[in-house]
Amino acid sequence: MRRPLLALSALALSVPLAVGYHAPLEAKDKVSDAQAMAVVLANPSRDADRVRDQYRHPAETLAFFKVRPGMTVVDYMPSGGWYTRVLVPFLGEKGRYIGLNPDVSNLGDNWKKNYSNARETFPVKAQPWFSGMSGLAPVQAWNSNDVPGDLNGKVDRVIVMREVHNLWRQDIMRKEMTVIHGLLKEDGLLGIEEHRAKDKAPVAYLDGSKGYMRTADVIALVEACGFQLVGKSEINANKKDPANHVRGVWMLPPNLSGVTDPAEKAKLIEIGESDRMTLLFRKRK
Amino acid sequence: MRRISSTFPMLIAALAVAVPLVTMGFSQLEAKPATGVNAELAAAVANPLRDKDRPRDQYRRPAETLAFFQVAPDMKVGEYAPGGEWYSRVLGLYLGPKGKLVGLYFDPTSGAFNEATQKGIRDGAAKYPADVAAATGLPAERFSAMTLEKVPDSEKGTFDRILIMRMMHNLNRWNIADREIKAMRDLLKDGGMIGIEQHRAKPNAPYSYTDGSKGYLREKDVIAFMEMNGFTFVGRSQANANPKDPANWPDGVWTLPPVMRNAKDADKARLQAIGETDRMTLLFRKRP
Repeated sequence: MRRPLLALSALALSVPLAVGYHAPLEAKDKVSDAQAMAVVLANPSRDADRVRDQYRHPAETLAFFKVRPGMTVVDYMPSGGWYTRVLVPFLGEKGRYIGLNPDVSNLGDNWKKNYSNARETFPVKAQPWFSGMSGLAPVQAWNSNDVPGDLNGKVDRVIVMREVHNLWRQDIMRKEMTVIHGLLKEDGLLGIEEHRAKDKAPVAYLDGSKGYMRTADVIALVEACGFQLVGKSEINANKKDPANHVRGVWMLPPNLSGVTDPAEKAKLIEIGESDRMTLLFRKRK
Repeated sequence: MRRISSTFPMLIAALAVAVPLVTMGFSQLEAKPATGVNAELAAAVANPLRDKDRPRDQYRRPAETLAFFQVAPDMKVGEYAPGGEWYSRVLGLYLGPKGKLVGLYFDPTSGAFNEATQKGIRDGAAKYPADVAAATGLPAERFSAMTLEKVPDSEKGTFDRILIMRMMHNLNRWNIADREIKAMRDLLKDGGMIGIEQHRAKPNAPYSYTDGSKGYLREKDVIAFMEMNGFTFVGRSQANANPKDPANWPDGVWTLPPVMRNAKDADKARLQAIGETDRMTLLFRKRP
């Protein structure tokens, strides 16, 4: 008896939030979006992923980015596919999921090894994630230097989840953002989730190698590439994160990278995943 | 009444913001002695060796600009991408006797340049000391130059100022701005400053016009870029402002003097009357 009640109250919570963004006429559609998302998130194929929902807030984050079923969505650097497994069933048969990796031709060996030839490797990698499921969006992928020209101006949403620090660190932000800018429709939106540094963090902590970026810097960087900030959400905020971990964001869950001391580990688990900004941009003319 | 009472305070606030901006812009056009110009700087700018450069002083305002950048005559100053060396000649006269002037050239290996250009960059750095010596009558030993390819450890943390004159748009469109600024930040002392003069786009100019290809950049983009690259914005001067420039030339800044690219004879007088571009003049301090 408890579970359905919980699910209902979650719906009741998310519906008014969604309605606030749109004309009342769309309210009914938004309810069904939220329902569709609830079904997607509850699918047993996500059993291993679900433990992170409490930190990543996929339903609220994608609603803030105004991602809807039937849309064409570019997931920039899908990496382990955590968001792929939410988006592909949510976008549905009428939607289109596109994984986009960077142009790795000037990057180091690790980047070449892990991120090249997305067109061939990513759909194969993704296939087993959805075995036995139906109503899925087709999955395609490219690197930004081989993405087909006829995709320009056809994309409703681009999401860049926790990757801006990598673009910054590799000095490819402007180049990649130029491709993203070209892909989006005129009224398309760019959603960004990024680990949030303290405003007063020293420069040495902000070169991207710690995973954290200052909000003002991310906004400025994206705006200088032809976008305009539309809104910020605190949905992925975590006030417990001091955002000053010596070896960067990877010391926190889910990685707990290099953390051996049990007491320290317990402390980091108690913090949870990082404090993050959630930003939405539109293209500017 | 309700409408008036609610909009009136907003109007007042808008006016309060707008008025000082407007007056500042126009007062800079009047020929008046620049504030903070020391005797050495005034003498360097007035030096007869600069007679051929002087027609552009009315637009480039070297005395006001260098005073705003707080460049003192005994400082070690980097001039980034000296190009036609217009600023090298005034800087050489000003810094030659007591200070140190160093030409800083693009990292030729950044990937933005073909082989011929790479050679041009290296050759430019090699002949910079002799060029400035010839223009100033001072010994070439007073001047030096380097590319930003590999900044020697001995040079790191030794510069008081680095000046980037009308070059940010190229760094932007060639996609080398971050790495070049990082190298310059390494060269600066703690608390050292970068002065930037840059063609200024309108705040609402479309992105296709502000991506660097037209020469104009938005001031907010330049400030944000420097702040994220480890600098604090110190302030702006309107020394190089030009309200007559609509900053929307289809072919970019090069339509205006001194280039006047592809200008018909009939248009030249009109372009001369506008003068050189509207430019931002910004100062940034290296932050820890």
